[in-house]
Amino acid sequence: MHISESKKEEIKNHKKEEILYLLQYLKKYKILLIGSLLAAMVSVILSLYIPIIIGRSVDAILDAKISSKLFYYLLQISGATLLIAIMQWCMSLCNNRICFLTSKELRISTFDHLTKITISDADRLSTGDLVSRITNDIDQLTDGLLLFLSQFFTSMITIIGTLIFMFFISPLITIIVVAMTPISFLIASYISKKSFVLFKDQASKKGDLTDYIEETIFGMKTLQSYEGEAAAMEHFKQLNRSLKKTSQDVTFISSLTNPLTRFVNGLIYAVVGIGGAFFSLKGMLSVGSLTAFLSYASQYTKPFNEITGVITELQNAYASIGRIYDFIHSNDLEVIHNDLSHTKAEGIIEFKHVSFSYQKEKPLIQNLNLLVQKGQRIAIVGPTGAGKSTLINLLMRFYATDVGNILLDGQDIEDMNYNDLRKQYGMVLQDIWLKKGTISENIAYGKPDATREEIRNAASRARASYFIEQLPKGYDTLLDEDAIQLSLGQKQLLCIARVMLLDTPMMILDEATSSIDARTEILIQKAFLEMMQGRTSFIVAHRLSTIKEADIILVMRSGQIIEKGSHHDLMEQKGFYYQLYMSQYMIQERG
Amino acid sequence: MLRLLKYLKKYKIEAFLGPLFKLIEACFELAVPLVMAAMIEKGIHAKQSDEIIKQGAILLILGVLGMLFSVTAQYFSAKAAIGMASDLREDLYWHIINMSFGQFDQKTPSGYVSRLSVDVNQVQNCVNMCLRLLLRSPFIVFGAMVMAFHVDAKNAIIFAVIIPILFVLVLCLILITIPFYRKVQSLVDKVVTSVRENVTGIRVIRAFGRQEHEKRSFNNIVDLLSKEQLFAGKISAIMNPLTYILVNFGILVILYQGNLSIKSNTMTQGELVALLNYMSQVLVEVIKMASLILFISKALSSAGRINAVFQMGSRDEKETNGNNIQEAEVSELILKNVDFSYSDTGNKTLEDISFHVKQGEIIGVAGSMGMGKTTLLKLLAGYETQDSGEIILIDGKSLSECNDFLANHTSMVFQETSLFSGTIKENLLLAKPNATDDDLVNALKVAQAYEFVYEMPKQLASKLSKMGKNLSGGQRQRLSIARGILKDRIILLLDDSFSALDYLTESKIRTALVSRKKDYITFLSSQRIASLLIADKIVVLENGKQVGFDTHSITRNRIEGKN
Repeated sequence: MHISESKKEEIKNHKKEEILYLLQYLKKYKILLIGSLLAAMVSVILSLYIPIIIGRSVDAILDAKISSKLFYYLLQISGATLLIAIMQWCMSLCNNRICFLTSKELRISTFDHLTKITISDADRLSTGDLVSRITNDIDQLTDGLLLFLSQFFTSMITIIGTLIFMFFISPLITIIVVAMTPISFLIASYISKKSFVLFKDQASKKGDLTDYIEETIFGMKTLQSYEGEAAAMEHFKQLNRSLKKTSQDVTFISSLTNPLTRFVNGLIYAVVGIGGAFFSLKGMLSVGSLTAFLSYASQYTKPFNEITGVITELQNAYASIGRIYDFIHSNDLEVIHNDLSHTKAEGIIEFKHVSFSYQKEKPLIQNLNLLVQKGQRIAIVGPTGAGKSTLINLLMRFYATDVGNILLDGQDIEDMNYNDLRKQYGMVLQDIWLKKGTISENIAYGKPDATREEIRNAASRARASYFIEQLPKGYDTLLDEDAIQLSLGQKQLLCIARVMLLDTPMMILDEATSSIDARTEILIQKAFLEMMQGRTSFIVAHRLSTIKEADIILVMRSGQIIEKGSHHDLMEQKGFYYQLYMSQYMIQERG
Repeated sequence: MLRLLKYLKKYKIEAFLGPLFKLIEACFELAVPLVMAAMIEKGIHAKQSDEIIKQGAILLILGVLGMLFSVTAQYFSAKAAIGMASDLREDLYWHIINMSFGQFDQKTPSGYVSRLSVDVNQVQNCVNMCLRLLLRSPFIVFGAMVMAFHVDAKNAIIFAVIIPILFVLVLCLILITIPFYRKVQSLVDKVVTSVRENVTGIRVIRAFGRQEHEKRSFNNIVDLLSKEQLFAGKISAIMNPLTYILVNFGILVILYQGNLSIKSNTMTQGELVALLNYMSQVLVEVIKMASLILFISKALSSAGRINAVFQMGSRDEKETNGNNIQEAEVSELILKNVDFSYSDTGNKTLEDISFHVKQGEIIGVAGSMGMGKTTLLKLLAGYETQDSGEIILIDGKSLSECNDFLANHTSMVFQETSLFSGTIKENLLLAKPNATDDDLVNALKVAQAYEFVYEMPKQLASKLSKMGKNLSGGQRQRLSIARGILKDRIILLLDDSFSALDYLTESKIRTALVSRKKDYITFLSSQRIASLLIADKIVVLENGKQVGFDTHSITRNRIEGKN
């Protein structure tokens, strides 16, 4: 209990900071904000004033004494109308500027943050979550802000202004109107309570249906091959129909707000009408004033409805600010200096008493010492899940060591610029990543100013030119987000070509387990050998030949390096590597 | 959109009653100014307090009736719109899961998912709004005009002038802004793509040190986005002020002319008030209509996306009449000059494939990626039909016209594993609903999945989460293989199904396949020639052409000799 309460406190404090954070962005638009507010005030007050003049005009028509004033009233109406229109227009322009520019800056700074957060922080967040913070949450915030600026103040001013104006015309009827106001609130809150439960129910049913759609659409081929379509359809229908029932209820109930508040409005209108008529009968109210009063009454509940809408929207926007704030404030950053050195390293790597673990309770690498000379090949082997990629994470400084240092050419990599260090490596990971863009843009990713000749050359050395040239548009083929038009192996070749284009002193290769077929693999193997020539190379290795030819083999098992040495040495030791070799790699050799 | 409206047919009563009740309600609303006018004339001016009560009572009754009709209308619209969307979703889903593989691959799976969810919802909301408002708003606008003419024809002429101008104005502004909003939407999509890329590619981007470049290109997109948003905003910001000016101009005219009419005794003060009220009603409804039109234009593009999926052909209706499934003892499979291509114009994916295999043989399919291995297996499984040539199963019958027959004799395991939420047992039974537990155990053993399944606390009853994500890639793949084996058809097709397995497990599965091979014709496609070690013969494909059909050692020598 205590813990949860203190946590609540913490969250509360946080909330204040979140709002301050947003205000920081809005501060710049102080003048626009003031302008928008002033325009809102002028336009609301004038538009509330117009019914009064119209009322006076109606009276003036009948009353000969003041009929000369009619022209003057009409002039007033025209003037006020023009002014209101201009003010409304100014207000929209101000609000648009404030909201769209704020959202632009928020996007830029969240994205900037994304390019700087440490990989370990990025690994902890899911892709969908991150994407939704930078896109949906900012959209939500913009919408909320826009609605707030354009409706909240106008509605507030309208309510207050309406009451004041009505009060001046007839205090008694005004009191009746005010007394009836809570009815519409009661109705609105009853409906929103009712529909909230249903909305939640609908959301969970929608989630179930979408989950089912996703897995069956992604597994559609399997479904067809087992003739499971009919069964899937049955299941789908069940989910869909249960969603339908809930959706119909929730849509109906939530759509009641409108007719019901309109009914309350009608009620107020009728009461004002009857009351006003009696007053007027007794000469306490002119017909013109009654007209003005009625036009207030007919619009009276509208601002209340709008404020309710704004508040709902604000709640969502508020949650969004929280998520954006959390992202920007709770992550560590990689500090990047702009003075890059551009020097090419020799490629001597030394691990000195390095220890590392992802979680404190689970020690992984402990006191690793390793000296890698320029041009040596280091094969990292071990069963799946042994933590082979951990070493890559440390070498590239995606993660920092807990204890000890890694030296490049004798310099501690922690003292180096991130980009300076990483540019020394050519990296081919198993997780394929290509950008939306043309094939040549993708190959030239690490060297944007590469000529077409260089790109072709890199592609051909990666043995990718054959399939690229088969494509109708060749190097200008546009890859979409998932690059579905290419096979996995082809994508891998592009990743290799991307590295081929660079001249780095060191290589990090994550050998493909299988997605490249035998023939291509042989070609790639040759390309890899060419790349490794004279370069210090770290290879997460699966192929026996790679392993055998390595200068040093690091054998990993459940996160730890248990053996270290050349193929010959390790076979002599008859340890884990020996067993591994006998059980697994022998098969390859026989094959 | 129109094409999708046929789904409303089932709900035609609701779809008719909804708008009808809305219109009746609108009539009540239109009557209000008349009643008020009567109250002023018969009550205030004639000093009849019972008339005031009477007209006041009418106002209240109109309010209650209006609410009742409107609530009923909401009920009917909700029922019709959601019912229609729900039927549409079912049809679309059925259409998608019945597409031929070639058709299906033309879009990404997530594209289909978003059509089934986001786009269908968009259509649903639009239909709902339309049933409620599409008729009502214009009805009130024109109704107000008709009533105004009814009150005083001479002074109502201004309605006939203002309303068309309002319509044209609103429509023009919307038509101008729609393309801008489209542009905004496509830029928003670009923002999403860019962010997703930068999250998934975070390591590669850092490795190449391209953060600054990514930031610049992101900032460009965002900059463009805010410019377009501001521009579109500028245009739509004109709408409210202009309509306001127009309507108030109408009011000025009414007041001015009313003045003259009242002085010449052709109109009463109450009638003047009624005219003024009608003019205000017009303003409210025109603004509602404007937002409805924007809504419709969004839903139209959703409807277009849905229709595009419907237009992608479904697989030819399967004739799963049991008669064709003869339990004939198939013992040999012959391919004669088989050609196949996915599109009419494109290159042939497979060309001139011919081979002859017998029961008890294991056939490897080798070749570089994209050379047609998967396509060949799909043809053998009957998922695609060859353009020319023959596929013959020996009990003597040519099967070129009867893919279904092939489908009934094959079991295919795909490259991409796909499991569904539910128990392991349910997932396996998909292949053979009447399988006994012994059958399951046997299949699991062949696929080397027995141990890990039975090490789980609930064994076969263990729950899999969505897409089996609570298992490792290798475990998922082994369950897929087990499922394929459980199906127990004479022809087993394994399409690169060992990719997530370590060598040890892979070799155990191969050994198990060899020990059961005599009753089956087993096809294995793999990207590693080593994986095809157990094959009796290997089909080598190059650019869709069969360049070899030999034993393992010959094939291996040829390939390695070449390079």
